[in-house]
Amino acid sequence: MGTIQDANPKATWRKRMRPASFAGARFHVEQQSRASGMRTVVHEYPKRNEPFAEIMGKHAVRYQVTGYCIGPEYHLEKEQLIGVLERPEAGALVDPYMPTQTLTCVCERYSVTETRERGGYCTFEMSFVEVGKAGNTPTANTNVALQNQANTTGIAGVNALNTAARQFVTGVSRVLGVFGP
Amino acid sequence: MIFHKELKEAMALIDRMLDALQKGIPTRGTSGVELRRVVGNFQAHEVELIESFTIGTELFKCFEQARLAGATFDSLDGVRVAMLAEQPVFNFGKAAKLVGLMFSFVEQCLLVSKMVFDSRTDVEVMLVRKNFIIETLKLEVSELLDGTDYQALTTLAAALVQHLAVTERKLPQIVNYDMPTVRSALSLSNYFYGNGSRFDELIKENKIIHPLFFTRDVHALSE
Repeated sequence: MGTIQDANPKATWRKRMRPASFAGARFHVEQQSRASGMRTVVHEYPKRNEPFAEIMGKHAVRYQVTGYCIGPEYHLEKEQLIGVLERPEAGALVDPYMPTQTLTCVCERYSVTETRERGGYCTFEMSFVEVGKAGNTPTANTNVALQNQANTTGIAGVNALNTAARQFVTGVSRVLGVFGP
Repeated sequence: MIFHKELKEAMALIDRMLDALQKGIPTRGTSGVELRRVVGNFQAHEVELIESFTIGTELFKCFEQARLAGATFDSLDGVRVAMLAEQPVFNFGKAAKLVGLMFSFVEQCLLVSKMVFDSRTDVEVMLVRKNFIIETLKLEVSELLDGTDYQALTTLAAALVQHLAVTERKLPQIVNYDMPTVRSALSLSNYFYGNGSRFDELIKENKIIHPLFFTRDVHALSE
């Protein structure tokens, strides 16, 4: 038996589709939307008709997904999905319509709905946001600072032992009149 | 003779310190030979070094050479443990013990400054180990070191923590995935990162026996 991907051989978009999942937990997608764009500051000048939209970088990618779990064991899939949605970690969000780009996202909010009339079925409303990278990390060269401080402390240790030797030798010399430079 | 006892105690302690330092370091190769030469020279002229007040300088050279010869974080930890087990009675021995602790910590810091960490988890493990070492060291040295030297040590501890914290921020997190089915390393690499070339990293992180059969609980870098 074929799958929906074989329904129309000319529909290449179907062949590209992959099962949707978040952090390895699969679900079906009823509807989804992806939002992003560029952050801009629009400058409008007096006595001038042309504005200037200054590009300040990209908006974080946000996904609004309406998904569902269905089947005799839908409750297991539901529990697994809830588990990863409530975990304080980022996970890979597989967009079934954009399989070449797997984003690392975190779930901001979700709701799961089950109704009496539809057994073996639950609907998820999920909001995801792209995690990205920690920004504005200080670029101070801590390696060099650490090495410098280690050398300073090493010299402090050298002085401490040399001083102890000096005190020892001076003590011996004072008492016995021997030993010392 | 009390002076003789004090000298003997300190020299024996330093000898044990140097034995601990050389443990686990390859003695072959140019750097290994150089380490043996430096340590041998130190031990042969120990009394003269004390007389000329340069024993600290030469002992530090031994630690530096040990690091260059391939001393590891763990082998330097061995020096620290050996020194903590010592119970010297006289001042000279106490100073030698303290300096042994300081030098091993200094060399460990120099090693950490050149370490390459793969993930935040690696850095966190190092932070936990360092916190323990720093606390022990502070307790041991606070009575014997003067103000400036103690400050140098605490500044080094702070510099180390700062370095690890900054390093940690730049690294990806280890994320736990609960996969619905058993998959192969190549397939997982492709699934997580969009290319299959990082399969060996996944195998290494998860300590997998056969790359075709990953366990369902997968630890992987988030990016």
